[in-house]
Amino acid sequence: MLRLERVASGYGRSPILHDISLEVRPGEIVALIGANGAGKSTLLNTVMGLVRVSSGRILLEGTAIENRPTPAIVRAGIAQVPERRQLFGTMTVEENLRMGAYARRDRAGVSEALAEQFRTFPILAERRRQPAQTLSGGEQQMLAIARAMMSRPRLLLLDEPSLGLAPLLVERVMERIKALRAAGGTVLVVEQNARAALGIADRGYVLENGRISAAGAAQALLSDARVQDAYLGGSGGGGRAMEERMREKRRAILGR
Amino acid sequence: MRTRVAIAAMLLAATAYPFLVPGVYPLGIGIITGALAAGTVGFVLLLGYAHQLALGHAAFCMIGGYASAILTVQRGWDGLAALLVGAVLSMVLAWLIAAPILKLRGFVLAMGSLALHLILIVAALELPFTGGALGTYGVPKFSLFGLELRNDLAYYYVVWAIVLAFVVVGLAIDRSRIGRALKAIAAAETAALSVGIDITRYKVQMFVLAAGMASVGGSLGVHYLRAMDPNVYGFTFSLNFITAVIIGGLTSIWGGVAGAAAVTGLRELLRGLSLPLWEGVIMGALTVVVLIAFRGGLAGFFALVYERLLAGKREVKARVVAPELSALEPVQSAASRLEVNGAKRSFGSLTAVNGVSLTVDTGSITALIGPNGAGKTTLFNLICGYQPLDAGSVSFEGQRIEKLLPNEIARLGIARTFQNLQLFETMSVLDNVMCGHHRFVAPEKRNREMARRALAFVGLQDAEDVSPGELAFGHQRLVEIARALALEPRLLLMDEPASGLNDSETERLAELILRIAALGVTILLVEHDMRLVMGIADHVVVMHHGEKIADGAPDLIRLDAQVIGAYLGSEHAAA
Repeated sequence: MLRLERVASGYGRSPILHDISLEVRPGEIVALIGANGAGKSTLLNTVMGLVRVSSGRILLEGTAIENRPTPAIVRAGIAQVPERRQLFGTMTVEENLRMGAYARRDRAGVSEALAEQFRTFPILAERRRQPAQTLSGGEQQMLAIARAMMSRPRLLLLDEPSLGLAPLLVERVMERIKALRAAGGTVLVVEQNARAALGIADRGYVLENGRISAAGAAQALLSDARVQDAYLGGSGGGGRAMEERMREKRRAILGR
Repeated sequence: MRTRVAIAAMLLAATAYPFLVPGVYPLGIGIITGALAAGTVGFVLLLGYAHQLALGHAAFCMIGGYASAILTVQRGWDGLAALLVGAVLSMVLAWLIAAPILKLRGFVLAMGSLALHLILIVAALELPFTGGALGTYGVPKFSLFGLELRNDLAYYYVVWAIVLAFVVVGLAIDRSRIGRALKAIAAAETAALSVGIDITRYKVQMFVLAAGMASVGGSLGVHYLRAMDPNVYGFTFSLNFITAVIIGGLTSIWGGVAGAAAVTGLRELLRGLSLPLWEGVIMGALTVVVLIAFRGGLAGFFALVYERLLAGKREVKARVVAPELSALEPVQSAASRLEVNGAKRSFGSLTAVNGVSLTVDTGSITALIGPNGAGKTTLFNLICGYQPLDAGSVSFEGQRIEKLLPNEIARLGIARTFQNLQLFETMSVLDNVMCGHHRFVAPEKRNREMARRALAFVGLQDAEDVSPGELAFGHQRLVEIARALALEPRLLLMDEPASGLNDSETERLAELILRIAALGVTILLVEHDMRLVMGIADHVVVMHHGEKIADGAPDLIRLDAQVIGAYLGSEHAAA
């Protein structure tokens, strides 16, 4: 589906990504994890043609798309849900969704896609006449994903879908992403919440300082000691262990 | 440095001009340019800094012009005294109309000043002492302290000395906390409020100052023209200000002066080519070209050339290093207790916050949790004054604060961070954090030192020169926290500080929050990351559908069946 071959890219003269080779196969969820500033969002923006590729190739189903204009890439079938959502705040939920199908000309198809999104995200149906800016954070994230799905993309790029979401909602959003795969969709997801992302992904890549430092099956990465140390809050025991470490620190610093 | 070079060049050009282009007529053009430039400096502050577009700014030139003409001709006053009276009149009038006008957003000031200009034109035509359509003739040459400037060359230098004085005032404002506050307002009003910046006040100040400077420009022009009538400072003159500022570069004080010179120079050139009718077309086209091609105008162009030719390539460093924990001193506070009582807020039929009461004890870390849409952020906004309460009360350190404005609340020592980052993107990281110290009127050196200490506390001491946008998202959060710390808060409200951070970063954030608490700062945070909440909070408040459903120690909250059902799910509940 999507293939990056030794891609280097960046803003102006300063390169951010170096020698990135990555593949997303049809029907897969691929997670891209890494620290803040590692270049995860830059990678998505590079695929979308928002950041200039200085060397290497990006292939979408065998066709080179590097440095093509963004609208052409969208028409080729890639949709991106940008970090921090970027909704049309004063427009209603339904108008936002319809904007997602802006490039589509078939009315029936658009209505059908709209109905489909309302089935997947019932809360959006309830709020269809409300301006997007009045939605809560979680609802806005749902709307952003639903809007991207309106164009029926072949490949969906998700930038930090769990950002600002309550634990229950993170689970729910992750389930929705899994449901997209079940319906034949292909997803590349960038996440700080490595545990949640690797939990639903088939494969994962770890990005470090603009380079890929590890890759493999999601389950293998989850149990990799190095990955655990760097991105999963240390080895052994997940959430509870991290919480315990914080409590120890609290006792040390505050004495309570 | 760059500004100094520009000022030196301006000074040199103004001094040399009468010798380079000798003659009575060119000298007159130089004087008129100076009169326009004097007003333009104020207009840069108004349009470029305070972001207020006044379409009828020449109204104040009219006031200055008539004050000078009438007082010198009819009363025999000294030119300087008349000029000052005109300026004071203009500033008083500006102050009277500014307060109501600037509270409203958008085009209100633009239209309001246009209306004022219209009124003044009619008044000038109809009032008994203005000379009507014919105007007031025989204005004497400018005089100061009884000394008449018979020589136009001397007058030219007086005019440009005044322009220079205005430029110095403008630059002083640019570099002061007022200038920084204005830039902060332009970049992000919400965030500016959060550090205690009184937005209306600074806009009014700039409007009043700009009115005074325009008035002085008006007076200076009249002493050269020797006559004042309603057409001297008509609508085209207002447009000259706008054109000059756009051509000069919106946010450059000396750029405004260069723009004024460009506008008059170009007009005279067109006149010389016998193309006066084309003047409007060419000026209009030029403005559009500058708007599209050179957003920074002449000043921006100069900056570009300067950087290419004179300045060495600047290496911007941005590293995140280990925090310096001793950088900040403990807060002296006896009782920074926050109490919310029966807070209620509705939007139409939706009740976002419905009768919530909570207490944040002095020195505690209190976490506010709940599903998305539970009303947590709304409650934050009620506490910080961004939205009015429909019912209930908020008190801090025993003082009722629910009627106060956000900037007033910030000044009490309540700082906040935002869920969606609110940084001043156009300013450096250091300037961002210096804005945090705004509530203290202190020498710049002290402000800078405080900002550096706050940056060191979060580990960003090596990133002060970059703009926040060049930093990764997680590090931008640290900038926001540093800005809040520069306020020397006694209470810190954090809206989802861990969102967008990975686990390792969240652990570092936890330590940072604990260190802030160790300084004696009381903390209220909204957060979804249960490990962070359970790990560091002393007290947890749970909201659901706008109401408080639980309140207690973390381990008790974990056992609460209602909380588990509404929010936690099975994973985070007690085993």
